[in-house]
Amino acid sequence: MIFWVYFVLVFLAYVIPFTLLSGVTRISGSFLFWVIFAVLSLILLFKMMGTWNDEY
Amino acid sequence: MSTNLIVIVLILYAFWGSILAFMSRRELRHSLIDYFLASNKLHWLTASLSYGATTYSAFMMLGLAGLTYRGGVGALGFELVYLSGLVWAVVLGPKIWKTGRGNHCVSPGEVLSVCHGSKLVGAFYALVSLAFLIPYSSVQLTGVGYLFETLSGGKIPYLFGVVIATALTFLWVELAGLRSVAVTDSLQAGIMMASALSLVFILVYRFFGGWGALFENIEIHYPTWLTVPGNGFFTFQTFLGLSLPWFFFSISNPQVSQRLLVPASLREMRKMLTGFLVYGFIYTLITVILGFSARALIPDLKNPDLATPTLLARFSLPTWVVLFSTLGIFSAAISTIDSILLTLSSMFTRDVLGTSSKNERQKLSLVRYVLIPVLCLSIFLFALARLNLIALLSVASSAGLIAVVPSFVGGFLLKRRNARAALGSILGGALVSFLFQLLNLKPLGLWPGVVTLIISSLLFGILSAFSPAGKKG
Repeated sequence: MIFWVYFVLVFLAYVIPFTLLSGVTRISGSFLFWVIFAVLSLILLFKMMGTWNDEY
Repeated sequence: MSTNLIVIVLILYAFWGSILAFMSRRELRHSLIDYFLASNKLHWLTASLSYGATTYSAFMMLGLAGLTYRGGVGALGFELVYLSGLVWAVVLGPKIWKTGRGNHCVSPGEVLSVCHGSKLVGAFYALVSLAFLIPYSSVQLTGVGYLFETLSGGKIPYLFGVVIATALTFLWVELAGLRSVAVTDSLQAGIMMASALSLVFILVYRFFGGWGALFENIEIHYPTWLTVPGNGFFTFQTFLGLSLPWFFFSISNPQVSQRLLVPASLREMRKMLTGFLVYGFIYTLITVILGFSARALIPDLKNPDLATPTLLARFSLPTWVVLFSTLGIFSAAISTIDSILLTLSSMFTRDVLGTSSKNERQKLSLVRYVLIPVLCLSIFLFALARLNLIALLSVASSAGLIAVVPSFVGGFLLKRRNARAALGSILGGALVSFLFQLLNLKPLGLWPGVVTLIISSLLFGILSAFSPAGKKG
């Protein structure tokens, strides 16, 4: 489930800045969006790694 | 900047790095698994810092800062999409690690060979890696050469930087393999981060008066730099062409996928990747802000790759910051090249020459006294061509190596283990990538990396569906 949510997030990272934010010429536009995208990605990756165990 | 000061700092750096590398020899055992994987005994912090130093090359402070200077915020998106591509290491890492440990694999090519049941798969992966990573490594040397030349106002010739970087790379790889590479990488990762942070903080506070003022400056004077396509550089095709190959970097580039074989346990791997992700996020932000600062301070540059060196050379920054930043870029280059050399020599030894352990000592001698020197010489000669395209050549290597992605994803995730499909997709994809890059072909505006991924995925899918050797594992 997290895996698919993750790929939706990556898809949005490609689409949103080129559409909704393409006219926002402020730091709170694409810059902030991509930073938030990266933070969310990292949180999801940490969650995914949390399911690992050494008996894998 | 005084030429003497630069040379003195370089000597100090080379001295301390070499001391660390020599000290790491105490642990060295004369086996390939020790030389290439440090017998799976690296501390997670060392492994994490080394992963960061290997991944982040001189491209960051020169190429990415240059891309930001040229195209704006798209560079941030491109690099953060790369960071999000660590999902492949997270999803496939445990499977690759388990296969590697269970089959005593040393190189990522061996892992792929085991997965698809044919040693040819690893052999072709090794050859494709050699073809695409030699130019990538030489670009690092090119960056170092330009850096010293620009900083010293031409007094330190291009060749000097290239020779010093090649010599140190050779020494730090040869001494103890991954042990010396990892320990020097850790030092270098620290230098890279600390120098980038200090440079950006001083630039922002001294020349703009704070973060808010820098961003306000960009919003007022370069508003299109804050959007994509913005000033026209980051069209969607360009963004996709640059970012897609790097989204798969963590599994396509053998020098980083090999690091998934190093941890002693999955717990250690989790710590290694977590440390790297935090490091990567901070380093990316800092580098992009450096590019924006350069745009605001020196708007008249013809070659964007020179944005950082020009900032260092033209502005009245404290001497220690200039020297420290120079060292940071130098470190980023060396730490990437040495890992690539180590990985390429492991692939050549294990995947091309075979996995028989009868002549382990002979093979180790071959690695240390023949392969590593020959590889060093190759990248050195390539660097003499002075190709002026740091960012584009860096991406070009990942565009070629992306041909191996369907074999990893198909084999480990979709469990379609098929040697013919793997061979066909690696070879076909690499050839397409090479031809499209050579002829500068971009059908429908798609960059070679994107075309390569499409072609190699199609080849893998078609061949695994119709090949009699195909099976679902």
